[in-house]
Amino acid sequence: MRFDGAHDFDDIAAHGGGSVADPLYSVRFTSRERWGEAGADGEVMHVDLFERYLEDPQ
Amino acid sequence: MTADHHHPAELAPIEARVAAIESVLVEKGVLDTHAIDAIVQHFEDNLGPMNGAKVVAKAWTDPAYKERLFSDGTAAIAELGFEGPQGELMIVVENTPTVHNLVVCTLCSCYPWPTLGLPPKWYKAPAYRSRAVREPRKLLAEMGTDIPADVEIRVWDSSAEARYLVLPMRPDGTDDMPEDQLAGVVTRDSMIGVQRL
Repeated sequence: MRFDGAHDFDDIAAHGGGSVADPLYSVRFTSRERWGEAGADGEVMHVDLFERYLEDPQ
Repeated sequence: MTADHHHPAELAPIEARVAAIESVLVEKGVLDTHAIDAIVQHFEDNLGPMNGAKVVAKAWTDPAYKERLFSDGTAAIAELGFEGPQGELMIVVENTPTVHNLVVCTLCSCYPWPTLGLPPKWYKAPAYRSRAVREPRKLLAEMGTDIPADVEIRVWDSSAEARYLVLPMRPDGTDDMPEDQLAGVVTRDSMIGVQRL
């Protein structure tokens, strides 16, 4: 995971809600995590996600 | 030559629409034609993969620069004068003998303009955008780039905020090349990650 600082939250800005900052992370998923058995080994994906999209794994 | 040779070729619908919008904006004084010409000129002359190639060549020859590139890609790239729209947050990812990086924009066409210019057509195609996520190794093989099974493929999904530049591995046999000559061996596709040098 990589932290990229706070950025305007797109879902609010795009709907005319103005500038609302939210922490932005680059989160890594393995192919197996995303696709289960249909996935492949040795392939990972990094996706930018705002903090409010994330859930506490606990 | 036919009698109507001075008529321009028929415009595609999108070209006609853009031309109509442009002429209305110019007529109303919203747009200045010189400004449009300057912007088009800038994209033609100053933006393109040759900028990214200079970044890569410098990273290959200057270890301190390479370190700065990874700690703050945006600032290190700006050192060479490459900055601006669609490059506000630049992340540089390094290919190694065990890791191959691939850049995509699953949502649309996010791409690092200051270092690579405008994206190629295939980069915006739904097939590339979906298969880069679902089966990147197979996609790369079909594009002519075989990544050995023991090399991890890392796919980076570009966004409105972050843009990526792949630092390819320096090819064998280039030890004696000076930096400007090295930049000449760096291709656009290698900096997107669909090619190995």
